[in-house]
This record gives sequence, C-alpha cells and structure tokens, in this order.
Amino acid sequence: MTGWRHDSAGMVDRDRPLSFTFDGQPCTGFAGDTLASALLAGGPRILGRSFKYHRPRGLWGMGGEEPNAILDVTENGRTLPNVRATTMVLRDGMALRSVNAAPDAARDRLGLIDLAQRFLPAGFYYKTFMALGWMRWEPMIRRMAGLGVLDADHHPPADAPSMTAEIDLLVIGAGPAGLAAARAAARAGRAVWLVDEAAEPGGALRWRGGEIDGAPWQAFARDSCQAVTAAGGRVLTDTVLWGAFDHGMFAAWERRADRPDRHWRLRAREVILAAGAIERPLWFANNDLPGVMSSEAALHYLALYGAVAGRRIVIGCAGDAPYATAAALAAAGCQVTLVDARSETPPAPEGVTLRRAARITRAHGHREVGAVTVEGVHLDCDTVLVSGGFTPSVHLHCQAGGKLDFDPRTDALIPRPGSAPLLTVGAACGAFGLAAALAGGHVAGGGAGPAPAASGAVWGIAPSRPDPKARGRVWIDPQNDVTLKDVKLAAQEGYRSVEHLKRYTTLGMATDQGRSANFAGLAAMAALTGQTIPETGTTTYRPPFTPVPLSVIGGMRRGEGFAPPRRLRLEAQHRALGARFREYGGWLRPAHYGTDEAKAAQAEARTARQTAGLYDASPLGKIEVLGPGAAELLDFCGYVRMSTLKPGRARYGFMLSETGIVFDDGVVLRLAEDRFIVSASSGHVGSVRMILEEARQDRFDPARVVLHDVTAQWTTLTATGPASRALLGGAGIDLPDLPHMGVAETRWQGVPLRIARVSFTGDASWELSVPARHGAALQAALETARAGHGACWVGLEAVMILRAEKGFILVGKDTDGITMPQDLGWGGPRDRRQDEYFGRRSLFTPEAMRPDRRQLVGLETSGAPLPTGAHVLASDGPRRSAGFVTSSCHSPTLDRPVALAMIEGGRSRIGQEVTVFHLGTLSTARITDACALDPEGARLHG
Amino acid sequence: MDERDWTTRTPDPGATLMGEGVTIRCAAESGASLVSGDLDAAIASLAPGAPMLGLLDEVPEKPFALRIARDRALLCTDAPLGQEGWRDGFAVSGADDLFLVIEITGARRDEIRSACLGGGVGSPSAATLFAGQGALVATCPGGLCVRVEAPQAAALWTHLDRLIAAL
Amino acid sequence: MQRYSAFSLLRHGLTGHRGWRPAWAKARPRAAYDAVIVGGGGHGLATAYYLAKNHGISRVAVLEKGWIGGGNTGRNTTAVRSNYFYPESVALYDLSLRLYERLSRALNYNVMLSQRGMLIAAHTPAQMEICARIANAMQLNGVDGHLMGAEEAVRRIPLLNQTADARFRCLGGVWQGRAGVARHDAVAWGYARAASALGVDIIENCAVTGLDVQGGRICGVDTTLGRIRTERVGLAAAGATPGLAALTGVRLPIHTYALQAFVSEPVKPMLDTVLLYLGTGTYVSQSDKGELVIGGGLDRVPTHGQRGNLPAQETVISGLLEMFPAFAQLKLLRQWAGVVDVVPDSSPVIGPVGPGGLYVNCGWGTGGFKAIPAGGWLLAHLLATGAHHEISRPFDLDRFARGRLIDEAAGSGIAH
Repeated sequence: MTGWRHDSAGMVDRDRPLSFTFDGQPCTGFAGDTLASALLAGGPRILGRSFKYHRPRGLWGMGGEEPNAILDVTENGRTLPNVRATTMVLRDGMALRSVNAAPDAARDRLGLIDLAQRFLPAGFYYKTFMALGWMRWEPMIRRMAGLGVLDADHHPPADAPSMTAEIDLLVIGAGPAGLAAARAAARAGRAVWLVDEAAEPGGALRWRGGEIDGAPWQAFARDSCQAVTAAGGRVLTDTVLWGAFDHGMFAAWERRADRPDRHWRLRAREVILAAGAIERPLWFANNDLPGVMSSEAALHYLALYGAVAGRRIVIGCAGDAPYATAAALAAAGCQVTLVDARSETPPAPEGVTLRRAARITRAHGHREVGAVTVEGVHLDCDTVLVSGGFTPSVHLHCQAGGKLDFDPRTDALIPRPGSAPLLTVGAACGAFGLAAALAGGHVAGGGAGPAPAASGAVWGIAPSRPDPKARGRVWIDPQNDVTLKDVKLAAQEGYRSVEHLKRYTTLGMATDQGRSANFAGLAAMAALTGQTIPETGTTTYRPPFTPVPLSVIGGMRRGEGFAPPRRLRLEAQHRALGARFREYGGWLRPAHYGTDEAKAAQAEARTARQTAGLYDASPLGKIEVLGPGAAELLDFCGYVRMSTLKPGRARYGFMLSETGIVFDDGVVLRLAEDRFIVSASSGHVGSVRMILEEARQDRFDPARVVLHDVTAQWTTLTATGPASRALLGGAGIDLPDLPHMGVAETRWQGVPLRIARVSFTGDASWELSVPARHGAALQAALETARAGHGACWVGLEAVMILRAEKGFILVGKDTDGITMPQDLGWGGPRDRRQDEYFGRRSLFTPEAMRPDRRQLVGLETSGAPLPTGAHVLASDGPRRSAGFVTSSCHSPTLDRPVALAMIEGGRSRIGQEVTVFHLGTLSTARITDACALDPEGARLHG
Repeated sequence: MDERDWTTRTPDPGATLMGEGVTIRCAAESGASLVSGDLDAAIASLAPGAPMLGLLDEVPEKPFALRIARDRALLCTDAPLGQEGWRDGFAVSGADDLFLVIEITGARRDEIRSACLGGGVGSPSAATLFAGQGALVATCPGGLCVRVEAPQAAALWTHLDRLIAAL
Repeated sequence: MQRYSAFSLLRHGLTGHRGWRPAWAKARPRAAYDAVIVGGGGHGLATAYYLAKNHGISRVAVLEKGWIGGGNTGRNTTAVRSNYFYPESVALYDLSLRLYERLSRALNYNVMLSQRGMLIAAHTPAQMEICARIANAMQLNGVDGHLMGAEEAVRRIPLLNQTADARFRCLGGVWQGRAGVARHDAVAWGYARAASALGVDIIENCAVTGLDVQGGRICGVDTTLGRIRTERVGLAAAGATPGLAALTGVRLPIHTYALQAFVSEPVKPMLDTVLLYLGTGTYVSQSDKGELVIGGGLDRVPTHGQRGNLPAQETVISGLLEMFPAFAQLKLLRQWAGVVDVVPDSSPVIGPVGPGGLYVNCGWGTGGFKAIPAGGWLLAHLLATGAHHEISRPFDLDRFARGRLIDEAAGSGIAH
C-alpha cells in the first residue's frame, strides 16, 4: 500500500466510510469513491495478473481505458465478472476478487510462467502443440486463459428498456469543447442532446480545474446545461456513446444508479464529436510494473477523490500536460521529480525537481516499482507517472467512415475534416488546451460572437516513441503481455500490416481495446518497417467504443417477451375447458384437452371421427382479395386456377415459389365475382400476403385489385364428424344446403355468419366464422350443444392425427425445400395450364421432370408407429437414403400406425416393401397410398 | 410434453395498467373498416369529411381514417359500418374486431413513446412498429393511442407492464 | 521452410527469436504464371497450396487486394462441421473436416482445431423430428451424427436456460462430435506459409481490375501492379467474386449481405461445445481465450460495407441471453461483419464459368470457413485438370438451369 488518502482533497464524503474486501483482505474507502480510487488510497498495489506471463499488475488509468484493474465484484451474493475498478462506484460490503490469479493476485502460482517468457513470445502457440494435437493441451490452456469467472446462478434481469430519439444536434462529450458547442447551439435555439460518460459534465475540467470567462468552470458548465434544457434539449450523463451506425444512428448506454440501465438509439441529424483524448504511456524497460501510472490519472484521483498515488514520485513526459500534475502532487506533500525529454520546457512548478533533456530508460522493482534509471542515473521512487502524449478519441469518427491524418504538431492521428458526417472538436481533433477546446466547440455549435475565454496556451508536445533499439522488456499492451520484442518479431516474420500485427500478437485485443497500446504498436511497426505512421495505417475502428453489457443491448426481449406467439380470442374459454396450449405456426393453440397428451389426442381423434369434434381454426389466414382484377391476380399467384371458381364455392390450391417449390397450400373461397378469401397456413399469412401484394403492385393494376388481411377479425370454429350437422342444428345454427366445398354468408342471432363446408379431417366439416366480438357467444352455443351430441373439443394434436389418416399434407412437415406440386400428386395444373403463373418455368426443368423424384406416399407397418425422421433406404445399390418419414402416428380409427413419407418414385412403388433406417436400427414397412382412410371420400357427405 | 406457462393474457377492454406518471388503458374499437383503392372515394362514400391521419397525428372525434399504405387505410367509426366488398373503385372489409386500442396517458407518456417507437415522426402512414409489434399509432387527448392487432395485444400489454416498472 | 516445433521454439528462444524467417515471402508479380488465384483468403491460399502439393503446379500467384486473410476468413465465428443433410453437401463438408483433422501436421502450423462437438438444439417436437431426419441423413452419409436427448444436452451445456421463465425448453437435437472450432487467422497464415514454401507467389496489396479474354479464353489479368499473363484464373474472392465474374459477362446468382459476429470479454471456461439454437437462430461457442464468439442471422439489407446495424445485433444478443441468462453478466467487447455471398439455395458455386480457363469458388454465404480445405482442394483440381472432382460436380453453376438445387436450409429446415 503505497498510495494514501489526502486529508481534505477530493469530493469523497469522509463522514461516510465504507468497508469492502479485496482478495479477502479488509479495506476501507468513502462514499463517492470508485473501486479504483479506494484501492489507490488504501488498498494493495497488485490488483491482478497479466494474461500470458501472469506478471503483477497495478492501476494504470482513470476510466474505460483501464487495462489492469479488472475485478470480479460480489455484492449481495451475486457476482459480476470483469468489472473495471475505475468505472464502478464503491458500495459498502462489496467483495472484490482479482481475476486470472490463484490463490490471489499477490501470490499467484502461475507467476512462475514469467520465468519461461523467452520461450513464449507472441504467437508461440502457432509453432507448437502439433505433435500430440491441440486438444491434448487445450483444456489446460483454456483454464489459464480468461479473466473473471461467470457466476452460474446469477441471472441479471432483462429490464433494460430500449429508448429511441430523433435528435437535431447530438454533442458527444461534455468537456469544455462539448459544453461550448452545446451552449452555442442551444442559445441559437437548437434542441441539443449532450451526452457524457461521466457522472457530471466537465470532462477534464473536473480534475484540472480552470476559469472560463473569469469565473470557475462550474458556472460555465451549469450555464451550458441549463441553456440546453431551456432550448428543449437534454443532458445525459453516465451515458457512453458507443457506436456509430449507418444513416446517423448512434447507440448509447445509460447507467442509472437505482433503476435499470437504458439502451439508447439516437438518430441525429447533426453530430459534434468532443470525446477528448486519452493519455499515452511511455516505453521503457519494465514499464509494466505496478506503480507505473498515467500522469493524468494521478491528477484525476488526487483532485476528485483525494487519493494520492505515492509519496516519492517520478514523472516522465515530453509535453506540458503533466506540469499541472506535478504541481498538485507537490502541493499535496509529495516529493516530485519531473523528467522531461525536451530541452525547452515550462518552468518547474513549485516544490518540483525538474530534469530536462532526460528520459526514463528502465523501471526497477520485483513486484512493484522502487526506482528508475534516468539517463544512467538511479533514482529511488515509489511511483512513476508517465505521459507520452495524447491519443485523440477518434473512434466514432472512424466508425462513421471517417479518415485520419497524422498531425506532427500534436503527434496524433486526427480526423480529416469532411471525411465523416460528424464534426470533431477539442482534444479529439488535437486541440489540446482549454482555450483551444472552447474556441473550437463554440464555432462548431454555430456560436455567434466571441468564444468563452480561458487562459493557457495550447500544450506543447514532443513526440515520444517506443525505441526499437531499447534494451530490456518494454510493454506495449499490458493486459495481453505484448512487448516491443513481439512487435519486432511480428515484423521480422512478415506480419507487418497493422491487422496482421494485431492478430498475430493480440496487441489491442484486450478488454481495453488497445487504448494505450494501438498507437505505440503502429508507431513501432512504422519504425521497424521504415514507413511513416500514415503509411502504416490503423486497424479498423468498430463498435463498441468501450465494452457494453450484453444485457443492455439484449433489452427486455426475454421469456414470454421473446418472439411472443399470437393469442386466440377464445383462449380463456379453451383454458376453462382444460386445454393445454402449445405453439403452432406462431400461435398459441390448444394441443389437447385434459392432462395426458398421448391419450387425449387419441381419444379426441376417435370421438371426432365417430361422432363429432369441435376445434378453433381462427389462426387460419383470411386474406380478402377484392376487385375486378382479383381473379386474374389469383390465377397468376396460385398453381390452381381460381378464375373458374363460381361464387359460393371453394377450391384447394397451392402457392409456389419462383423455383416451383410448394410454399403454401390452402382453400380459396369465392364469395362474389370480385371477392375471394384466400386462406393461408397460420404461419405463412404474412409472407403469402406479401407475395400477393408484390404481384399486385408490380404486375397488375393496383387500382383493380386490393388485399385485406382480416385474419384477426373473425373467430372461426369448426365442427367435424358424422354428427356435426346435428350438433350445429342443436346449437341453433341454421345450416344452409351446402355441397362439399361450398360457402355461404348467412346470419346467426342477428350476427354475420360465414359457413364454409371445407374438410381438413376427411369427415363432413363446417367452418363457422363470426366477427371476433361474437366468438364467445358462438363458442358458448356450441359448448352447450356439445355434450348432448356426444361431441368433444379437439386439440391440434388430434387434428393432426385425423388429417394424417387422410394423407392431407402439412406444408413444411410433409414437404421440404425441393417438393413440387407434382410430387404430391398434383401434376394436373402443370400439364394443363397454358397461361403464365408464378413458378411455372421451374416445373419444366430436367430435374423437375424426373420420374424418380421424392413423392408423397403412405407407409404401413405393424407394431409401433415409425419414428418421424426415419429414412427409407434405396432398394438396390450402395446403402443410401431414398426418402424419409414425414408424419407418423397411431390411428385410433384404423387401430394401427399410419405414416406419410416422401420416397423416390414412391407412387410407382405402391405395394413394395422397404427397409426403414432409424439411428442404426432397421425395420420394414410397405409403401401404400398416402390416404389410409376412405379414399373415395364418402365420409365427406355424412 | 410440458407446455410453457404463459402468464400473460390478452387484455379485456377496460383493463388498466397504472405506473408512476403513466396510465395505460385498453379499449375495444367501436367500429372500423379496412378500405383500399380510391381512398377519397371510399371516405366520401362511407364517412364524408373524415380526415386521413398519419403517424402521431391528433385524432378528432370519429369518424377518421388512419393511413396504412399509399392506398389502404383503417376507417374508424362510432359503430360498425356493416359494409363488405368491392364498390366503385374501392373495397371495404369489416375490421371492427381486428384491433384493440391501447391508450397511454400521463406525464411520462413521452418516455413510453421513446421506449416503443423507433422514429419516423411526420410519416404519412400511421403504421409503424411499436415495441416491435406492427401497430397504428396516433395522438389522442392526453397521450398516445396505439392500435395493435388483437392476437398480438397480450405481448404488447405485458411489455408495457414491465416497461412501466423499468423506466 | 523452417520447421515449427516445441524443440525449435526452445532453440530459437535461447537466441532471442532472431532466427525466425518470414512466414511467407512477400512476392512481387512476375510477368506470367501457370495459374492466378484472385483472393488471398483461406480458400484462395488453400487452392494455391493444393495446386502445388497435389498437382505439382507451383508457378502460381495469389493476388490479394489487401492483407491476406482480411476478408471473411478473418471475420467468421470459426466453426467447423459437416452436419449437413444432402449427400452432396456431406461429401463436400466432410472432405473439408477430414482435411482439417490433419491440417496442423500437414502445414506445420497449429491451426488449433478443437473438435469439441456441436449441437443443433431443438425446442419443439417438430424441430426434433427435423433433427432426427438430419441425424439419420448424416449416419447414412457415413458421418458422425447423433440424436441427443434433453438430458444429455443439458449435461453437456449446463448453463442452458432451464428456468421456468425460459422461452424455449431444450429437447435435445442433432450432435456432431467431430465438429468444433479452429483458429481462423492461423488457417490463412498456415496455408500461406506452406504454399509460399512450395514456390507460390503471394502478392498482397494487389487488386485485380480486369480479366483479359481472347478468343473466348482467359489470357491474363490486369492489376494495380500491372498486367499478368496466365491461361487459368480461379476466383475465390467471396463477396467480390460476382463483380469480377461480371467483367467477362458472367452473371452469378449471388446477393451480398453483411453477417455480423460478436465477441464478449473473456472469462474462465464455461461453455465446452458449439451450439446453434433453432429457437433463437443464435449460435455461440467459447474461444480458447475465454471470449464468447456469437453469431446469428444476416443483416437483411444487401451491402459490401463490412459492417452491420443495431437491429440485427439486438436480435442476436437477445437470443443469446434467452438461451443463457447468466451471460447477461458479460460485456460485448468487439463486433464486426463479413460480407457474405448468398446463393438462392445456400450452397456454393464451384466450377467453370464464362470464358475458357476461368473458374469460380464462391457463394459460400455464411458457411465458408469450415469449407476452406475442401474449397481449395476442389478449385485446385479444376485449375489443374480443367475438370470437376466428383465432389464439386453437383455444385456447378449449371445446377440452376437443371433445377438440381441443393437447398440445405429448406432441406433440413434450418437457416444456414
């Protein structure tokens, strides 16, 4: 514990101490601390171990860029893995655990790996693990990899709402540049959304301080935020803008303390990026030791939390930025030595020893830093702060397609103006320094008059680079353990493009996404390959800007809210009758009534066949096709012509895809010359309607034919079976004299009633449709009459048995992606029709004309029903599949199994015995006609 | 096979959800028809003077029409029109029970809107996705009125119930 | 070629690794080659390797407009498998899987093949019936397919959602034990190194701008680094192949879409197989580094942009969390998209097109990584002999005219 708590600096509440543990050791902090500030002020220095070599790691930074202080946090018995100590607020009772270290960070056993480091360079695993096979080593490697541990019992709730907003002006970042831009725009009357990832606006002003327009910066920040809200805009704090997508869409993650986090989709007409910049490290031997920290972070911790990094501090730099840090630390009572690589520097701050034209070449220490070597001179210290310049946070600019240019003056890659649909200001575009940031933001926000004024010049910076000739181990990526030697090795072996460098060495692929590593890596590669930085280029910037919880992106779509099925209007009535529900075709429907599924389905099917059954057919699609052009449209879109259908009649038909494949089947009712109702299978209504709609708009005159999907307008109840006519009479329904496949519009108790005599069961069947608000009354009437006629309610499992007995197909179950109508015995229209219809051409390809295509047949067997999905073997030649079982069940009517199958050349093989294969077991069956019951259809007229 | 427990239900007309600063009520449609084709002729014939409304437009007293597509709209009336079929240049289909109407009122209704509506303010069509479900969305006194097809109302209702707690 | 092994790693380690030579030679184009392959991804590099290895043809150039392996080979979710329905597909993908099984030794480059198994999981009886159909098809095609029940599935994947609130209850599914994952970059680099060692020229930062045709035959390619004479050209450039073929008037039935993939922050091992869940359409595995690698359906807007948008992300990730509620503890670390060339029947197009001497290997859509060794093997066969290998014949472009589609998605009932 080298850090300490200043007795008054910072904004923590010293009257509210908090207790927590780290790797089991008790620690304390204050309300207002983050985990990082509390650990810095009073916890151990070693917070974790690096990924590959398991070297000790300490706190580096202050925000999302933190590569080392990754912890598993347990609170109230629930653990969250991979928490950044820098971004999580401390609460009483938290238990923190270091990751990837056993038994703990201080005593990690695998730290011994570092002794073998010379044999474990970047990519070493590509060169070995081959002789015995990778899988021999993989379990061990997997256990050594990974950071935190997932808490298997912790199921975070799915309660993050997804919010959408359309915005006039989005300002990303509420530092001085962002505040100035937002204020200027708001004063001009624009509705501005100002977004910042910190809890308060201000950006770096919060720890650097400063006067704006002669007053403390807080007044300026307050004034700007008030201007924004007064003009109808919004200030979102604790909100990370993490992704730029097409057409001005941005994604943000809003963290809230006592409510669920929120996912924001912001569609912005105009965007100003003021995301600031992130400090770079310096590169010298053993720069990864705990105690080596970002200089800006040290200032941040002192000013905001009163947490001081150490007492004997050396600051290495090549620019003006750390002078404020040096001054503040000296004023706090530390012994501070500033080591500036430049020969011309600002004056030394009070109480600070300044060495010019000097660089740190090596840090010393076993598990934390204890000294440095500066130009050959040994300096004892307990903390090393470093500042190698600043990398502008250009991520969102690049995500939006923007290009970067290298600016030697600021030693940074900055956005090329005009290359992306957003404007970058402040440190994000290399304007380092308060006055420059304010001026840039003011202009970008369309500010009239002078910009907010502040003193202080633009920061001077001299370039710092990793030196390819440096001796010792110099770290580029501290989490993934990528050193300068690894970059050299990558260059030497030809992995020279920045993407190859990244993938070969894993530089920049850690959880900090290379915040402090990417620039160094590309600069080192540039130096090694003799190229400039622009020539070397950068890796692709992609969302997320910082890791975002999956729970925020996943939102509330969970459980019942995930792909919810459609619900029947009469669901309550069915439940009252004991229905058990299951999802069919996107609808929740009764599978059977009563508890034992297998028995219920058989009993219901038997009753329906012998007496009568009732079922709810409401989900069957009802698409009205209206107008003088209706018949023409249906003739084109369907395989079976409907223009010859007379009003008052119904006809079964198919819809094909362009490749001639059966897409859907169903009955079309013709109610008038210019009015049809197309029934589509419940799961296909939307797609059938779109196929009709596309033809309507593209091929026909939309003024002559229109489509209305009225599926949900009608409740349809079907009565089927020999006693169904009597049952309907007993329910007070006056049945008109309808032939099979006839339809009539009539009334029942003053209410419109449409009756279609259509059968899916093979027995006499009447589909009764009433407007849904009258469905309950119809259902009640049928229920009242039911028992007296020996009928029962029938679930879908029973309906599937009844139709299987008749060989009626279910599209998608008995057909697949190559089934054509002729395979189902419906070759007639193909042979007879001369007019053009959807899919016609595909029915005449050589493949479509083959006689040995898979065809729908029945299979007869004794004993247990055949398993659906079993294959039928070819009768000769090498063992291969000649087809498969598509539907199979026990028939209560025939008291034996029935099955449907698609078998090559099946219809010409009726009567033949075949071998059936199921998971290695063989059995036999006989090919029969698909229809197992009443092939003449006599029962339809019962 | 065990069915999954479905705790959500289609709301009955009159059902209400109450949250902090927001009230959500389900109402039945008094009367509605889908009309397609020559919409001007349709309205002149069926409900003269009914305005054609787009996304988030304010609904007046009935009758009014919510535009769905270039040549399709939902004509909302005080009572079922009882008309079906093709007329001269347009078609009518009864849709009195197609939709349930969900009204969202209260001080926090804008947050609900933000959490459910993806954008498209100013669209001439009232048809959009509301919390991922197809819906017709307009403004009514005090808030939003959302028409969702009855089979999907249970899903939307449950989502709104959870949303009120999460916002 | 310097041998890679634990021993050589040790030896080089003692001398600071200064002795390792470039993995592949950075070649400049010569005036002429026996064969030119356009596209330096896994398929193109594998083609070059097998041309040299199987057919002794090494005067070959691989032309890559960027850096090798930078397209879909570097952007996929690394799954390898042969759990397909049609015999033609099984032959193709199992050839590939068998080559993968020997690949590290053959190339002397560890591609980290982990045959940890893959489950296509079902949650309805209807889906289980489809899984039975697929399992039987696999067994009859001589491939390890197994119909797994719910209990075994949950035992293998203990974190799968078993709560009362689960939208989908896993009933089991189709299991292939030999399926798994491999390290995608290593596959590209391994093939590049081995091909280069056999004399193939790998030329990066060289874009093809034209295909020269004379007398109905290919006679050369125009590139940003000059003109190259050759009589045999193989196009293996994924989403860019249709545009290149169009230069000779060939229209390929391909639409290009973005397919996104996602990676979480790494955690200790918790998922030991590859899983595709029919209910959500999301698939997931855990990399050796500990990151979850996640994918799902396409962004449904055609693009060459190599980036996707929020709606697809939200769908895939909500599907993942529905399957594994505990994963809501994790954070999204990286997201990217590949440019997938989708063919109407979701099967590749392999064979001659247009002028004589021009061949394509494309249309792999969302499933090209697992097929890299086979794609290379078969395109090499075409380039070397001018004729189809029996395994590639069914995938010729003429299948569309004949009507002999190999529609895996519809045939097996699963989106591919």
